[in-house]
Amino acid sequence: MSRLFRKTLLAIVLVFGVSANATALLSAWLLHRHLTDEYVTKGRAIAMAIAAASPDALVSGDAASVQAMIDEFLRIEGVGYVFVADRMGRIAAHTFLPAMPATVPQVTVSHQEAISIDDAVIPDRGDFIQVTAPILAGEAGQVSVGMDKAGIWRVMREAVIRQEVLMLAMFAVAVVIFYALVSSIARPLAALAEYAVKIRDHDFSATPPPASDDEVGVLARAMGSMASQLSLLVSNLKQAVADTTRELNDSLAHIQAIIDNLADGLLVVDDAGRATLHNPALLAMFGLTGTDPAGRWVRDAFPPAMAALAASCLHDKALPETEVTLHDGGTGKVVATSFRLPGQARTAVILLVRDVTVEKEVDRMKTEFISTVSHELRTPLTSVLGFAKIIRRKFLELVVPALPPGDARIARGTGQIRENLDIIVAEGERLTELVDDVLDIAKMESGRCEWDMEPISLAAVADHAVKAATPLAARKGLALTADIASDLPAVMADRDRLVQVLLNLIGNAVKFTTSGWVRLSAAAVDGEVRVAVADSGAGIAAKDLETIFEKFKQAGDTLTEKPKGTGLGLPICRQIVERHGGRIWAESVPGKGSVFRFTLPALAGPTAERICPMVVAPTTGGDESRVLVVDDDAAVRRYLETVLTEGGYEVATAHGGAEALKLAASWKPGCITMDLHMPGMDGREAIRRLRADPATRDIPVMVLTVASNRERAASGADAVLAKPVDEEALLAAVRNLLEGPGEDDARPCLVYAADGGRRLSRRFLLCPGEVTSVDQEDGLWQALEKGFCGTVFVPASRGHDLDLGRLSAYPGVCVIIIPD
Amino acid sequence: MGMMADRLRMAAGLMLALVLALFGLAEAQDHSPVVLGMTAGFSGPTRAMAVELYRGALACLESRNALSASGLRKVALHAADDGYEPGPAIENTVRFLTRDKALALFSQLGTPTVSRVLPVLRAYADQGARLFFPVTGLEASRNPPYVRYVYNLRASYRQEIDALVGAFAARGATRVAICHQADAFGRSGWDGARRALARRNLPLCGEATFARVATAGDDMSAQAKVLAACTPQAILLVGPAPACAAAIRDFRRAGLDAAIGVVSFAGGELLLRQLAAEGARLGVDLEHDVIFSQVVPDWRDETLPAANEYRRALAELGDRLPPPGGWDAPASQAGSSVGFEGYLNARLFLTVLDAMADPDDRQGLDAAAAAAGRIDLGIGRSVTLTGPNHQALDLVYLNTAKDGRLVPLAASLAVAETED
Repeated sequence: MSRLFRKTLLAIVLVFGVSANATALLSAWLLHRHLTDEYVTKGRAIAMAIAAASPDALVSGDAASVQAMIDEFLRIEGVGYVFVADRMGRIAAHTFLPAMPATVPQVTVSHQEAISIDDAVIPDRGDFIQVTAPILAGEAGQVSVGMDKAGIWRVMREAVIRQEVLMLAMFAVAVVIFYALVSSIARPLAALAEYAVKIRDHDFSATPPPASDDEVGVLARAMGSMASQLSLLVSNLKQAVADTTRELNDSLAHIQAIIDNLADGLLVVDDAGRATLHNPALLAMFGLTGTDPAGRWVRDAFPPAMAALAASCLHDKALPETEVTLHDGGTGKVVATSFRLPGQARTAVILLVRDVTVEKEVDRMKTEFISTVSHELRTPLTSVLGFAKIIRRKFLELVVPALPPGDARIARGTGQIRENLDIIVAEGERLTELVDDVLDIAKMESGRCEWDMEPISLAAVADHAVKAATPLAARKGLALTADIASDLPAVMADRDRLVQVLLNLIGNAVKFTTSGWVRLSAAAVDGEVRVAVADSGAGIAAKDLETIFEKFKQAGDTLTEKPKGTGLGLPICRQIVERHGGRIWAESVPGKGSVFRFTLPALAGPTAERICPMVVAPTTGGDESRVLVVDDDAAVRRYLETVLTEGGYEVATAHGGAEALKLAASWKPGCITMDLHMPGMDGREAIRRLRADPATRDIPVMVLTVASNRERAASGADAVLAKPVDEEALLAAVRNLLEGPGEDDARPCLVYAADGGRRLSRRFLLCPGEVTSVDQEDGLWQALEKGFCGTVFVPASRGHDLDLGRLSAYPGVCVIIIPD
Repeated sequence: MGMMADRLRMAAGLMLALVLALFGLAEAQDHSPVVLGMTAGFSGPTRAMAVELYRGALACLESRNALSASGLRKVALHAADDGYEPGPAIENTVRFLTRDKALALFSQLGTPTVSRVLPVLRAYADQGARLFFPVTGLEASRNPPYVRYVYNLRASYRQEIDALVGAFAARGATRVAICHQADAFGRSGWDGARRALARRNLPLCGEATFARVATAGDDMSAQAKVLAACTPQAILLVGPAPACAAAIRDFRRAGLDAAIGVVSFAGGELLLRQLAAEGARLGVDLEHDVIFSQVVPDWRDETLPAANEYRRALAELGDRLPPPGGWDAPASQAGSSVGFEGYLNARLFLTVLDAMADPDDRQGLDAAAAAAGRIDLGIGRSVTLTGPNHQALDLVYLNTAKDGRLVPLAASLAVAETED
């Protein structure tokens, strides 16, 4: 039996039960009332009938007739007892067995009342409705008829039982009909439910139950079509999932293959600093092959630099790459990229490690090659140019005066020699310049150029450049003026390179201007510094305004006109300016002049000039007239020896580091010129050893080299000159080293003393420059913050309280503790 | 056409009726007996009584029929069973009067039945319906308005009860109780007892009833308990033989040792037989101190011609003409006071019949009864039916029992009571 049927059957039973019983109760109640009424009516009728019929017998004392009469009525349904009392109230006849109970109520009814209805409860006999009527208006007596209530109950019970039986029969019929109905509904429904369960279990092959024309049939058909559609959908979906899975697997395999075969090491680090993904290349790089670093802390499994890089990249600090030492001793370049995991709030870092050992090596070799080429080109040029100049000087000083005057041939020859020597010097200088420019541009283009970027004041640079170029302009009779705005902001730049650009532009202007002026101007416009070099020269054709910035391209016809430069100046300028984040271009009105402009991004706010070249204090390590020349190139040694000897110095030469050390120790020179690139012990090592030996520690060393600025700085030398060496510059530098700086080089002094240092011993307070004094510590720091550059004298008594570490950290500041 | 046919049919009908009437007259004058209708309880508590009554009456009628070879009409006794119930009794009565063309109704048994039949007699009064000698002491059949339609032989219950009360009073009893059948018969006995005691300034100290259909097997201890409440010195018992037997048995068992008086309706010998059976079963002598009231003389009295003829007629009758339900084998040859009453009833009726001018005409019954005058029934005294109560005998015969037989105590002439 289906659950549906059971439930409904239960409901029907309940409804039937309730309604049947309610109906039975109602009809029982109605019946009871009706029967009671009927019994009362019947009792009244009987009582009145007896009352009407019995007077004669009663009056005549014929109790037997009365008895016969009441016996007749006793047969009537429902009559329990009858008794007749006579006028005196004595019982004349009754129907009780075995005796008339004392509890039977004897009622006397007057003729006005006509009838009395009472309830009689007789023990062992039951309840009765007693109807009493007067006989002959009470003159003959009273007749009482007891209607048995048991009869009422019996009739009622029979009626109720009949009703219940009828209800049961109806119920049985209803259940049968209902069962048939429900079965006809439930059977297809059950089949449908079974079918639905099958569909739920993805059994789409199940056949739908046969459909009838009713709603269940419609449902079945709908489910059938639904199932087929579902089946189609599911199979499509499965196919799609399979396809997608395959594609995904392929794609994953593809990606995995890419990752696995990546030449670079790949490491993904989560935001906690744990490795989540890596590839074989990475493991090979760090010698972790066979282990699985996934889930381990990066700082445990890999070099600390990588962990630091990952952490800083995660926290958005600009440290995009670093270098680490690989397992095989090589160098790895690590690049970090942070990314947000899709669908997650977490950030991860991808670290790519590339083995740059070979690149490093190539790089180093390239650098070495360029250094070597520079060295090898300049070293002979130094000799050629130097000797040419010496020859020309000697020729003019010694040979020409010795020649007999008046001899036209000799005079013409002399003039020719002099002209030829001039050409040799000029061409030599041009060649030197060309070599310098070629090397410069080569280094820049290869990215090998080193930039010492620092905040600098353009005004100072411009001033320096103008001063340097003034003699050149003066020679051609040009007016060189500078118009520098006073509030120029600082720029981040390489000072030397910037000077190079300015000199180049000014030099060009001087070169291509026959008469008039050259003006340098600088101003701050829209967050950048604009610099312009204008001249009143011939100008440049519009078609050449762009090409002049290309290598080896000069304005005009280089075949017919004699080139006035290397053709590399402007391209170098462009390289430098663009490297600084600026632009360079030219404007010109042919015949009126040209303007070369460039821009540099300005730093926020003016920054004081901090660049103060260290001034080497004069030393007294050896004989101040002796100079030791160290160079592996014999021509250079000879040239330097010639120049210095001409300058009045006693010169000794050494061809290598080892010999130089020996001579320095034994001969005790006042100063040493040192080449860096030498076979055997090179210049750097030689300087280190000189400094290590107390005997030679104080001998100033000047490096003459083609090496880069950085190398020069790292060499530990006291002064530097780049090859090819100018004769005058060499002598000035040597003089400077031996005798201290000249008046021009006087650096200011700051005295930290209460009374302006007047009480300080003048013996120690030796200052060639301006002397200022501060008496408060705040004043000292303020002065330093403002960019003081020079020597700070601190009395020993106040030195204890001063943060000497902080003081000496300022660039360009020398600290001297003096006794007070 | 229709008229013609109707007339023809009417003429044919008349012809047929005439022929049948001629045949009928010839038959009636020659062969058909005078019919008497007797309805009695041939089943139920009164069966034994009814059968005895029938046998006594039949014995008398058959002995006359045997003598009636010369001109005398035969008399047929039609018996019908009413089961001691008024309804069937009325139906039987009406059937006798109409279908059976009975000359008269005869020896109906029982107070409740007769009391209901009386109105029927009144209803059929125009057809001359008369009841001769009902076997009941009912007052209604002796008093107006029904006395016109009834002729009685026996004394009334009142007379019987009065005789019994007189006997009890003579013995010094002052507390007399009554136990009666719960119907008109019992009520008439109760009524009689009340009156008889009242006349002697005695109260009815207790009363109880029992059902009309009570049998000897019924339990009467409830009645015994009711009566014992008043510690009676004498108890009147009004009922048929089985109920009386049960009552006497249970009274005695309940320790009631009062004298017990039973009326003629108890059947005399019939009650004795049942008492003997019950006593034998229980090992008790139930006959002791029981007074039987009878309305006919002792049938064994050989000094009475009627008694002798009764015994002889019984013997002649044998097993012929059985009543409804057949003869009861053991009592078939012996007589009884009930049977003797039936015999006397029939003998008195034959006297009336002989006095009739036309035995087929009921209207002549009253005249014949009056014309009969004083009649010698062969019981030592003459009787007459012309009294105001239409009652032939006023004698009550009291008996005691001894060894299963009735022993005459005294015969008292019951007072002919005047109505209250």
